[in-house]
Amino acid sequence: MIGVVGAGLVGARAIDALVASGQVQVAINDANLAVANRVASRASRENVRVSAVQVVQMFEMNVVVLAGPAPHAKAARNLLEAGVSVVSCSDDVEDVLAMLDLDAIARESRQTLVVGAAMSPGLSGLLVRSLASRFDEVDEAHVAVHGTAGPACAQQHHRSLAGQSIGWHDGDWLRRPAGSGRELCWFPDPVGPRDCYRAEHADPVLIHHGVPALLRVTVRMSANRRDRLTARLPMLTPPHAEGGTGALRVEVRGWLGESRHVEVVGVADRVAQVAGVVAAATARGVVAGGFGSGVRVLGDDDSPNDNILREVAAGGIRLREFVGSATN
Amino acid sequence: MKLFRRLLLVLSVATAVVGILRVGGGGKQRVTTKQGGWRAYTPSK
Repeated sequence: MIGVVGAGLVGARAIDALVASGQVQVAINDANLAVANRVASRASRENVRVSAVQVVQMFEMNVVVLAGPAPHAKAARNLLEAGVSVVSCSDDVEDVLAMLDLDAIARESRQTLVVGAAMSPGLSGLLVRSLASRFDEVDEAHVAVHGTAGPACAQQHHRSLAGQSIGWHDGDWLRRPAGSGRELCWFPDPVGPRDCYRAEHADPVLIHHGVPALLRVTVRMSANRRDRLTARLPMLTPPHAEGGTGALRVEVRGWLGESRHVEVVGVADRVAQVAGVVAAATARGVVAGGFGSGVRVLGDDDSPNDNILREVAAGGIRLREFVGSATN
Repeated sequence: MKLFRRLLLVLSVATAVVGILRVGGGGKQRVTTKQGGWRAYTPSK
């Protein structure tokens, strides 16, 4: 049985994706039980039982998806120690680093902890791994993100423009002020071109963890002047219930024969929808035994990346690749 | 007054040049589907 902690947008979409993919028993927990009950009753079908449960009942699950706001590290540790595998959607750098340190605990309890199973990180790692098969050798991955899911995600977006971005650069971690390094990134339609800036995002940490051969990994996030100007202040207005259409763009560079080669793939959809589908596909992958014990990230050598990516595509996420000219 | 007339002349000539350039640029090449863009991506099996 799969449990989901967090009945926000990502949690609700993960439930929907699990139900759509044939999972007949799903449990959901939220600090606000009324919200959990509402999500459960909306997702339940004739042959599908989605039940709102207390948090202690999550320790009886096979896999638990942590879809609430960060931090997840403490909950992940408790669940692993209780013999429950965990899929975390956290995109907070410190939280992600804390979860990567849980490898010994996960191996000892013979459970799996998948860190960063959302859109970015998550789908970004899957796409890097998928594109790498088109190269003889990959050495750079550059991720750009546009949009947010629910209010917690919007607050994380706000905070990430005020911190220190972290990037992997020629064998060393490079820290730069978030909000700097403007670059015009072209996302799949209908999002199109957006100015993107460095941000405190967990993608480089996890992509480097999954594909250590990469020499450079960066992440940028779209922002406008108001976002950057007010990043160090509290949010001036309450975040939207759900952001509009978001997007992800993954550019991988490397060598193909004797020449440099670049591949770009992306997706344009609601961020919560993408994150929910990726989290659900990952949880099903854990239940099916596709992941070994220990800490895993999407895109690493030992994860069933192709299966999960196919399931994500089957879940209605339209992946796009950029074709630069008619000769390609 | 003479300066004002010259200024008007320069402005009108500049406007005409800009207009011609705009009209001349009306036949700009449109990006067709054969010239690239976003395509469906199918994960490898």
